[in-house]
Amino acid sequence: MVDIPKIKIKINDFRAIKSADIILNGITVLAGINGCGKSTISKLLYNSIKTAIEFEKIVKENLFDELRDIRPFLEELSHEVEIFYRENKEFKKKDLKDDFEIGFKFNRLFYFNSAMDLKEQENKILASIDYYIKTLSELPLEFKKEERYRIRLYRLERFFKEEFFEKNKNPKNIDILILLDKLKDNIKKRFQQAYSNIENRPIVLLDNIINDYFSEEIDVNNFEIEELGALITNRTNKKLSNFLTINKVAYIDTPMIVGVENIEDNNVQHWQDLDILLKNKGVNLNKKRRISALLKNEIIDGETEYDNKSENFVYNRKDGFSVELLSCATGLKSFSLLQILYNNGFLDNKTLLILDEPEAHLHPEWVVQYARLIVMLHKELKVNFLIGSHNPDMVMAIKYIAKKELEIGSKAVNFYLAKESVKYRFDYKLIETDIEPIFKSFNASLDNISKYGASE
Amino acid sequence: MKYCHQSTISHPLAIAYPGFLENINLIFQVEGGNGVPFNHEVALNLDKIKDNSGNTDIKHMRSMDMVIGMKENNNIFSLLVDFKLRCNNPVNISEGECRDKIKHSKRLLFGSGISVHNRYVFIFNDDLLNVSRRVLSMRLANAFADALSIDDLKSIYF
Repeated sequence: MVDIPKIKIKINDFRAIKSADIILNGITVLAGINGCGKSTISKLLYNSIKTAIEFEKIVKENLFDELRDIRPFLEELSHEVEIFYRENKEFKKKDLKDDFEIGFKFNRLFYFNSAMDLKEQENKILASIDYYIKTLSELPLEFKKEERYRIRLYRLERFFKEEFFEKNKNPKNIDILILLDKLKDNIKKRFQQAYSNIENRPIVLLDNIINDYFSEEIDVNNFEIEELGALITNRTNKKLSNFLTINKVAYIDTPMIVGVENIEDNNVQHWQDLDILLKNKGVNLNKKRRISALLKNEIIDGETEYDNKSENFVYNRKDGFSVELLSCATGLKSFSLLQILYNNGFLDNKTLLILDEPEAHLHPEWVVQYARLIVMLHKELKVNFLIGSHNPDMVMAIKYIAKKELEIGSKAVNFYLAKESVKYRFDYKLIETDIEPIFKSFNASLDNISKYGASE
Repeated sequence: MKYCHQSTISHPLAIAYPGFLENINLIFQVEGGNGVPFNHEVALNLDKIKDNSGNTDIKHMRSMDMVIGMKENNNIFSLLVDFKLRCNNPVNISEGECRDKIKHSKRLLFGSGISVHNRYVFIFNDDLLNVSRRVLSMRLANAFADALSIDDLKSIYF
């Protein structure tokens, strides 16, 4: 049982990947040429783990996304009632002020509030619809008689009926009060489905996310993830279990996004996720002197932090010089990013950091320092890594620094090489710490250079 | 360009030190190699020539392990070969040592009238060959230093 890996992802016939059986036991490095599917593995794993960890939150967010289409109807309804009372002052409504307030509150109710219990949110939404039912039933007859209101109400009834209940274009409308009752049932059903999803964790939720993530046709049945030998993506029971050994995941494919304004407007989910993680004001209670010193004293000569006041990431150099991180060298951002996650307590033994070509933007000397940081974070805090790389210095440095720093016989470090078995299709071979085959692939570049080379 | 027995044994240093013409298999084994990859081909043991020199400066030189005579068309060359079969961590390959070996060996062979081939061969074990090749290329970026296996040496130059 000792050899059962912490995490294993098994993939067959998925984009460029013909076969891959990747284990994560500490530091896993995927090497291979461009287009061999390294990033596909990273993205699959990231989305799967994130979905499993945040399953309940995703169900709730999806529910409120769905409920949002009801909102314009109720807003319009509220608007009509309000106009009627304004224009027909002879009908005094004792609590007209409440109408405005309920409209405002109503808006808020249709946004997911993570601080509020889901049942409580359901009750409030239903109560607000009850309020409309009551208000509409108490409306004076003139409201429905008068032509301009009648037409506008017809529009609402017709739209709402066809949008939610009767797709066929039957000009005969359903009374607004009946529609509101139906709406209550509809909302109850949606909440019921959400409660059931939270309890049963259907894997279809992950499948939808994966299908949306990759633009081309893919088969979600062609990958599975195990944790300590047990299936997390259980397609027989159609269930996505939660992870026990991982409870935090980040996917870093570029340091360029650190400090970029309005990252939420960008349609790349893992950038938005990372932005949130970096701005988190947590505190690391388990700081390790060697890692703090490595970052602060040996590499970036200072510290980077998120300044809540200016809403900027600021790099404070040891000599007192401070500058917005956005304008700093990209290599410095690479390290700052890890420093911020380290300082805010994100990095521990239940964290998986997925790094896609972390060597990009780094001088060779800093490539080795980055590799050192990876090894030290695993050694001191047991942070888990999945790294895609095609940099000789990175691969060699991870191997030899790990050999020196980690326990003899440790099976924490595993290298994989993607080999093209048929055109554009790659098999991932586990080579443990024997990096020779990776270098054979790297050295194709030397052959090309030697065609143009000159001797001393 | 291939091994040439006649060029090897008629090299001025081989004539001056015939006792240091050795079977390549023997040099290979002394330097840590296993097996008998060659037949009766010989090479000049440059280390021994250096070590047996009465000149202290020469004694302190670093040299490649052997010199092999090569022939292409009617041109003859000396190929410098060094064995790195005891290297078990390519990261430890020293730029200074490799550069000195090339430089000092060329100095030892200077005046022989035979050109030294401008590709310098370092022989590594198969299991570290590719990493070694990369490290060697990084360390000796502008020299034609080739990391080869013993089989590569045979197939390219014999």
